[in-house]
Amino acid sequence: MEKELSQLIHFVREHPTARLYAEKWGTETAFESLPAVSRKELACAPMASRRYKEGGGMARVLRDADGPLLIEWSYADIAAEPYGVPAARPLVYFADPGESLTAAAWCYEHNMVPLIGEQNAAVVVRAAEAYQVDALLCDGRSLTALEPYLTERRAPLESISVVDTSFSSGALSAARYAKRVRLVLALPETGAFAESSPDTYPTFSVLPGCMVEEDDGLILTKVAHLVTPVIRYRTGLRGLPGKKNGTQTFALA
Amino acid sequence: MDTRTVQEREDIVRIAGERMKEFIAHPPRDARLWGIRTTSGTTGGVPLIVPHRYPPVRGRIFKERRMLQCYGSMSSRLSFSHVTHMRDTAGDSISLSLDGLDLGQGLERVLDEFEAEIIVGYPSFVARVSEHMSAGARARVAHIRLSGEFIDDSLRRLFEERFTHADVTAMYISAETGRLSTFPCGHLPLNNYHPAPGVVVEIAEPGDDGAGDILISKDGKEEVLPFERYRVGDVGRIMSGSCPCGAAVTFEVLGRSGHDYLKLAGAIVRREEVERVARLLGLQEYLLEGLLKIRGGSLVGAFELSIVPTKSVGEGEAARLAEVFSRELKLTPTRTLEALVAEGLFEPLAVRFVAELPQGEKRLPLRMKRD
Repeated sequence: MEKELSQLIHFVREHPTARLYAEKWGTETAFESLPAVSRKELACAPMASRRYKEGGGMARVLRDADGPLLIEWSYADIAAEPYGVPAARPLVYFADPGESLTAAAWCYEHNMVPLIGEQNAAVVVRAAEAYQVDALLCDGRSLTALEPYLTERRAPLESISVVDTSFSSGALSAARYAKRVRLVLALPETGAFAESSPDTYPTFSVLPGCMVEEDDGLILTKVAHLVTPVIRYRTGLRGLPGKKNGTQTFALA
Repeated sequence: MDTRTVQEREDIVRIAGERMKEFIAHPPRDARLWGIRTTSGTTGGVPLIVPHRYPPVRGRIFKERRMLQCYGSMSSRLSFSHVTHMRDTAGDSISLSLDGLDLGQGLERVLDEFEAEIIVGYPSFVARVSEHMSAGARARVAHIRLSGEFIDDSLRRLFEERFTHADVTAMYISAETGRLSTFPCGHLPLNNYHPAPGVVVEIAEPGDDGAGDILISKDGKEEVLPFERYRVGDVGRIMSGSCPCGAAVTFEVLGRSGHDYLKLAGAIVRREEVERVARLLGLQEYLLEGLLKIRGGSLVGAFELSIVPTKSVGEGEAARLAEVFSRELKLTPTRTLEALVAEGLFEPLAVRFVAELPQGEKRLPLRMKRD
């Protein structure tokens, strides 16, 4: 991964039009010395300064206290994200409509016909019953909204993938509703970068192609040529790094 | 009198259930050609959930590549994103789907960055988004393709004023039926359409002006669900004469018939809700008409309530009726007309007493106001 990381940094530094990272880095060359970039810095940088590849895809507006942030993802990059697991009839249901669309696009990229949840939970339940869903791809808030439906189902789902930045007791007890439960740590601007389960929570295994450092919070690098590459990105999350069976881990605080 | 059967929504819901079972029993090999269409259920009726086969069309509709989508329903958003991606053989188009929650501070800068060249969506949603676009962002838009709602003169003028470089066209599409009109031929005014291939349009019990409920027949070969004289819930009429493009049939959509519900300025009025409030006030013959207006450069909704006076409800009570009606009528799950008036999204309700309601409207308590 070291070679790929070095190539990515070189590509980003030399990019003729997108200058976000190059201007941030200055003359620093060692990976460990590159200054970390924050969500706020992304929000302040025009999209043109952080668009490191052109092509088709989906754009989204992210909202938080730092103001709206426009992000773009290519379909190939969405396909490479480990959001869920193969299923026959997945239900995609997130509180953030943009997250729902991204996860539904992921389903199509993996040859699944997704049922996308409408914003009315009662309609979602009716649709889930009609489609006889066998898997759920959601965030913690939407999982809570679906708990009455999941409780009343006769058979457990094949899988539930909870994609979020924090995991409540509802997510941790989702094993009642499915044969397999994945807790996927992801930020909309970075995609997924670590995975856990109710049994191993709060310990997360860092996903392949991702590197997580601790420096006043978790700092993420993804060795991938994304529209806006993720290189030493301040996630705003806290955790204690470790290692298990040769895989990088951290305990989410 | 035409005695042939008319399909209502419950008939379609039943057929959709059967088609869904077949779809589950025989899943497709290529998932990308299929979608699950869900009506949002905002009508208060049973939501329709049906598998939908996308037409095998390749190639972009527009040469431009940056598309802004303004739809309310999630399945519509997914459907348009997915179809845009599938048609994009060049692999370089990009779509941004906006949500109502995005319409806040900072959106103007985001839309400046996105540089939309095409806007598709519901007319009222597009109008609201346009309030958050800079002059530069509006000037970059080359095409606006509308669907899902009636486009009245106020909206048409608003789009013409705000998007001076864009061609504004519309297609007739409903959540239940999918596409019902051809792509715009370039010769028709807004709200006028040619039926899509395989689609037959009829008008049920047309009045003196030729207007009546639109009935749709569609063979279902292209998609999944067949429709036979399905009452889509809009009022329309067949236009005489042929189009310069060569199409033999043109129909005009005049607005929602009041059959189910009425969408207006981002709010939804349900017929049952109107009837509930009318019962509360002891109204017997009445008609609530919705319209859109431009006020201070912004789009606002308005209602006019026409009432035939009775012994218990007389002309001196217009102010009281307007007040109680506004306080009681819910336009969203939590907000009343009174609240939306206070927020500046609607004008105060206008109440007037009439000797009789417009011909043929006695059974319909709700509709878009016609010119």
